[in-house]
Formats: sequence, C-alpha cells, structure tokens
Amino acid sequence: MKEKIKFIISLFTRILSGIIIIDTIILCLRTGKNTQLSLIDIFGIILIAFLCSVLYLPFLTDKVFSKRKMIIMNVLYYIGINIISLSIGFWLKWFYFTKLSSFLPFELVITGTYVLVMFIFYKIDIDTADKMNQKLKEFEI
Amino acid sequence: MKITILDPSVVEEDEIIVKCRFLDEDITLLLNQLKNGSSKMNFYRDNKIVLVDKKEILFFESVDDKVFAYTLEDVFETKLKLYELEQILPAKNFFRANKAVIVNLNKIKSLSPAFGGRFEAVLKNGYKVIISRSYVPKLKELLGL
Repeated sequence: MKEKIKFIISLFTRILSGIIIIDTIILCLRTGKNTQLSLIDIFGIILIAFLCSVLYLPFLTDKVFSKRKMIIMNVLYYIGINIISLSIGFWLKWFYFTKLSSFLPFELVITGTYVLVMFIFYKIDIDTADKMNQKLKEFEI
Repeated sequence: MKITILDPSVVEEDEIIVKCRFLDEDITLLLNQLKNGSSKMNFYRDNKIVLVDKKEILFFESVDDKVFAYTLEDVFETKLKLYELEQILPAKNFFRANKAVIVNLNKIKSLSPAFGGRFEAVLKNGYKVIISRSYVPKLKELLGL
C-alpha cells in the first residue's frame, strides 16, 4: 500500500505539472499571456489532477495482463480521465459542449497532458530497463 | 568460518549443529544444500524422478496449483510450492517476477518496459515473463541498482 501511495503522489505531481504546462501554452496561444486564473480555476485543476491520479489505483495491481488487456486498460483510463476532466470543466464553465472552439482546446489539454505524463513514465521505465540490461551484461561477463 | 568435527559416542546419532548469530544468505544456502543433497533438485517427468541442476532452470511457473520448472529443452513438474522454492533457491539468482513465476536472473536475455511500471523479461529460450510492479524493486536490488 505504501508503494501505491508513493506512486499516486508521484502521478499527481506529474499530472498537475502536465496540466499547468499544456494549459499555459494553450491559454497563451488562445487568449494571450495576460490571461488570469481564479482560485476556483486552480482548485478545479488540482481536483482534476487528484481524481485522475486516484483513478489509476485499480491499475496498480500485481496481476499479470496480456498486452491486449493492458491496451484496453489504457483506453479505459483515458476515457476515465476524459469523464473527470470534462465534468469538472463543464461545472466550472471552462467550455461549452455546444461551442466547438471552446471544447476542442480543452480536449487538447486533456489529451496533451495524458500523452505527456505517459511519455514521462515510459521514458523513466526505458532508462531503468537500459540500466538493468547493462547490469545483466555485466553479470554475464 | 570455524568448522569443528566431533566424534559422537556410540549411542549418539550423526548430527550437524550450526552455531551462528543469525542465518545469513551463505549459511542458509549451505543448509539448503545439506537438506537437498546438492545443487540439483528433484523433479518429475512422465512419473519418473529426474535430477536437474538449479543452474539449468530458466524459471518456475505455477499453473492450476501445479508448479513447473522450465529449462532450455524441457519442462518438469515439482511438488514444491512457489513459496517453498523461494526458501530453497539461492536468493541472489532466483527472484519472484510475479505471483505465479520465479525467474533465474542468469537466464534473462533482456528487459523492456511494459505498461504501468511493469517490465517484460525475455529469457534465453525466448519465453517472455512479466515482472510485476511490486517485484521490480527486488530485481533492481539484485542487479545492484
């Protein structure tokens, strides 16, 4: 459980950073660099990051899954974070479903953050695998 | 380590007494070797008992309450459970990869990341084993990372 909590905290910080980075870029491009965020907006961002991190908990299992199941799990997680983000975004009036020009950038923030966070984790795992492969070679020598 | 051999009296049974402050890895290995006779283990194949060197084993897998040992060419059955094997096998070579598999570290060809902090180990026979997230720290420790 301790390991799971550690992972969720690390995921939370990465999602939060990801949202802030992607959001800042998109807001700068859309509404200019003087755009201001209210406290309720910041609360919304933190809430999204928290709920998206907690949503990952069921995936932190020791069960062995096939590649197909893992892809399905990834898709389910992506759908889950979309539901969370769109619900909170709609509640805080960050976008309107009827207005495509407000909905699309918001969806871009969700997808961009998801891709960024997954890429960071994958990169960390690639580096770890490289180090372990190097050690395995040393073991063979 | 000091080794003392005593001559027992006629009525006494042959006995090995281990005097140590704690059971470290070397002593445990030695005790396991004494218990098991050698570095070889008993397995079953076609209702026959076969002796196989531990070094030859790629991995152990639990399937439907039965435990199998895989070498490059053969598959053998063992009556031991995975947790019992963990106690017998040398901890610096064998590690739990997931709930159903124990892998011989020396038989891993390469490692690559899998989704969600898991890793996939390709063994020397080409067989792929998933290393669960919770067992990755142990693997790293074994590799000195």
